[in-house]
Amino acid sequence: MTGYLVLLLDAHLPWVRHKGESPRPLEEFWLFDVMTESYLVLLGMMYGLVDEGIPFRLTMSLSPTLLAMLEDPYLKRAYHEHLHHRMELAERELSRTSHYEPDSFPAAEMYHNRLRWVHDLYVDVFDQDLIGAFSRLRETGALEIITTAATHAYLPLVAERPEVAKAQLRVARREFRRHFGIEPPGWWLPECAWNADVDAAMEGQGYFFLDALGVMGAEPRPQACHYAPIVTPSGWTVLGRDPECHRQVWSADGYPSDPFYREFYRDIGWDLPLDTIGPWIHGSGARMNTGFKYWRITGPTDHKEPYQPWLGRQRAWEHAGSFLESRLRQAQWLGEQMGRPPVVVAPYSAELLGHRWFEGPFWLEGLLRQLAQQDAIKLEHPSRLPGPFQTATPAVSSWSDGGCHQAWLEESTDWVYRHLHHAGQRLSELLGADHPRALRQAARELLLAQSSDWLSLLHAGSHADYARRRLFEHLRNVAWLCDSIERGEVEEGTLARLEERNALFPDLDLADFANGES
Amino acid sequence: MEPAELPFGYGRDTLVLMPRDASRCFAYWELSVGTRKSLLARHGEATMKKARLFLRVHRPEPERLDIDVSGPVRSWYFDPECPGKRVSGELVIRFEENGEDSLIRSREVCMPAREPAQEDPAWPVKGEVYARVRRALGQEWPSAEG
Repeated sequence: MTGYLVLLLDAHLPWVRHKGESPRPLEEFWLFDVMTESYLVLLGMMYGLVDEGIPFRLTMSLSPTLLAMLEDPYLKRAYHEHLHHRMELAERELSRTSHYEPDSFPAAEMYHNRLRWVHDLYVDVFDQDLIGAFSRLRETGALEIITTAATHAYLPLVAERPEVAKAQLRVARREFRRHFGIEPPGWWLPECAWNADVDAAMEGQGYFFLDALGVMGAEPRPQACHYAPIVTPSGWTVLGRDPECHRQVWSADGYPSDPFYREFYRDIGWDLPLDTIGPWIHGSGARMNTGFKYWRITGPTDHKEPYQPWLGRQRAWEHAGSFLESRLRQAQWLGEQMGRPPVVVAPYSAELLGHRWFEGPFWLEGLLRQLAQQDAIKLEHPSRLPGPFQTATPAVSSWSDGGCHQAWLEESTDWVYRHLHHAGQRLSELLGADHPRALRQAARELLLAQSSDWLSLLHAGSHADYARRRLFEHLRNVAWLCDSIERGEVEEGTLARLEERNALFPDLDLADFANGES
Repeated sequence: MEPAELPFGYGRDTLVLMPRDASRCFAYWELSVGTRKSLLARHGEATMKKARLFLRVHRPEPERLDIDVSGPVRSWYFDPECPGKRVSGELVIRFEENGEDSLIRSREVCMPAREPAQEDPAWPVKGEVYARVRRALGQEWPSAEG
């Protein structure tokens, strides 16, 4: 055996449930799209491998907000309806392309078959219970499931003091126990962001992931850079993301940019005339992605060639081989330098595979199959890596541009923190007050305001209006609830509406927000 | 950039330091109406008109850093020039003739480091491995200016 490979998929979406709004907000389609193109496809692929007896050890972080949406009855119903709607479109596209756009017919046929497969998985195989599907896969030993902060908060900055960040982790742990019946073996720290306050907020034992810079900058300087885990003075095992693995898959010239892969940015929701595509775009009449994309990347040109599904799939298999070959060469060289097998850590966003990079699940399947046919690179769960590991304190870091907090603390976002910090402080001061129900909802609203997603969208300038709206909504709700509690007059109807609207974390315990032992 | 839909302030004396990278720290503050009135009552309007507000940064070395933040600002980016060290902030109002008043102090925070840490003799560093990673990253260190 030459080296270890840790493959991690980080699955997260913010809480985008908008029950009662008509037409359905575009943001709910974020969930539906990744369920169809990523989560169900990945689950189907993994179950297929298990059924074939092909061994693999994959690690997956499922965020508490994503789990909350996957179990929500309203969203389950809405997704089922959405899936039927897309299947109707698939039927229509088969007919349309066969008559008028024969070059697109192979892709239309592929979408038709794939949607039927996804529907059968969701309804017949998994009984609309994706959490149960993940849980059963965990029980096979192939998948190690871990968690992340409750609403994926950027922990180093979200709170003025560690106690507030601690609540993000405690609520997440409680949710993990509720869903899977065990303690989380490890953590995906949102954006791999770490500082001393995060260290102070972390309770228990296990492992977490940082960017390579967080490990190579540790004190004392780790012997093997990030190619061996380190152990913090408080006993946490830390794994560092490998930049070479990152670059091969997730960079402008990485595998997903191959000319034979499906072009993400050309979709019939934008390309077809409104009188043709009208029933399948947004209820407001606004164009939107439908998931039906008939072109391949082709190259850096506006001219696009028709997408050939079988060619894309073939390239994914070749890229899986290329990735494995790179790991072999890397592990051989590192092993010679280190005198022990290196640990190479490759974390990717689960939504990249399938949704953004359509062939990504095929790539992963190819990689898992090829890994199973050799024994030089051992795919392993972090909890099973053999020590001993060097003790060191990680460096302040994140996996964002610049390696620190640069992307999270700049002009487009710095104004947010005084409001987040104040809301956290205010809730802490009221914890002993009467009306625990209102306090619990205030805690939910605070957690939702703390989602890193709003800051990320503000920073990127993408969906910034939605991000601002959500931030204001949750901060205003915290303020209203705290004001009402202080006055001793909580208006029942409004509280019930908030509970219905932001109905997540049912086991939320106010003790998780207090300083000291939970 | 800050939207009007949220409160301008919360009526509490506040000073928070937030390290961003090895050479940049963000500070935001609020002085309550009560604090402003109290200053006015103690020192009088004429003195207060000429007073200046400073963000004082306490650091191990070099000596403390005073940044003039008078005017319509309530946040500031600055370089404490002490990567890897603990710093704290203090809002100070300085009078033309009568010295200064300390208004509020922040909690202490640690600036990210700029240099690699020392190695542990029991775990001698593999220099070639680091060189390879630096090439892959195209970056020397996490806390470089950004």
